Amino acid sequence: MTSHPSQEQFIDYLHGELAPGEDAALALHLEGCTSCRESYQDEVRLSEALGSYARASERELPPGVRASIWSAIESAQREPSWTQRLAGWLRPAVAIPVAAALVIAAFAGYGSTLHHGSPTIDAAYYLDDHAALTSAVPFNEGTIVPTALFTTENADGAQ
Amino acid sequence: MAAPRKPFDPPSPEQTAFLERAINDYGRAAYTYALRLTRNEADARDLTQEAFIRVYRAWRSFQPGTSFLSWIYRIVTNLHRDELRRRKGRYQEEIPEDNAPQQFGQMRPLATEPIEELVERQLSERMSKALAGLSLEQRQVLILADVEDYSYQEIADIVGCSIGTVRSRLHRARHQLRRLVESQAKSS
Repeated sequence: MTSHPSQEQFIDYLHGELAPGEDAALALHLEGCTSCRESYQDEVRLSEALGSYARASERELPPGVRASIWSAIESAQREPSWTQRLAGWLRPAVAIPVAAALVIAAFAGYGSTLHHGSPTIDAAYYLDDHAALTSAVPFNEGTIVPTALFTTENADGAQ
Repeated sequence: MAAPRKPFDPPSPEQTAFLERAINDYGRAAYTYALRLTRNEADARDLTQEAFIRVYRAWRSFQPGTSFLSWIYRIVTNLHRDELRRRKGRYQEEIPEDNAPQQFGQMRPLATEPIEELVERQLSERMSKALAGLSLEQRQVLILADVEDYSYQEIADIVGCSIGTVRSRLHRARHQLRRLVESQAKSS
């Protein structure tokens, strides 16, 4: 290690978080560099101060906490679980009417789609039919033949 | 902690024994950690209670052989964060945090007297005040690194961030803490 280590490297060294090579180089550097040793000791003292704080701030678990944990658990256990709620929904008294309603809804939906696909009769068909039936000379050239007398294919061909 | 509580499935004797042992062995540590995060006894009690309820609920997800203490710390950390978010608007914790690398290498070396003084007199109250001047994220990382002696990787797992973030938060936290301790020593 040619240059002086950074403060961050001291912190990582103190926590044993440097790579082995870097760790060894820093240890060697500290042996020969007084100013770096002081900087490093500064970090050590801060950690020691934190350790003193930690020891002084340790607390026992307050007696009421244990009781309140068990009390909260017992009260939660009195409520039905989600599996019990699901089982409640699957009771025959509830499940059968729901299933019937779903089947009816499904059929109603299917039926409405059938109507959408059915063919429609054009208004011109009725007009043509009416003109042919009321013409004075039926089947005369130039008159309109009543399409009702033909199949759909013939009627199309005649027109 | 006023979060809505989901009902439980019927308990088993193992589950009950698991929680009883967890409270016996780790109740003190969890409460102390909660107190250090919240700096408030009532909040620490609520947080500890909620954490052990989560332990009870998720007891099967605990993997034997792993650190229970890390697990409970992670639960407490997450609950505390959620609680602060929930309170947002009513009570805003200062979180001026980013992950930008910090350069403290060029800083003037700080006087050692304030730190020595702290150690000699065990001024935990002063340190507590100085810690209160840190952001929540900085406090979490500092407590876990310097009080609980966790590695950066373990802290990253508990807090839910990358090792790089842990490192930069710790550097920044120590720098900030030193500055606060020094200013307190000057003012007193």
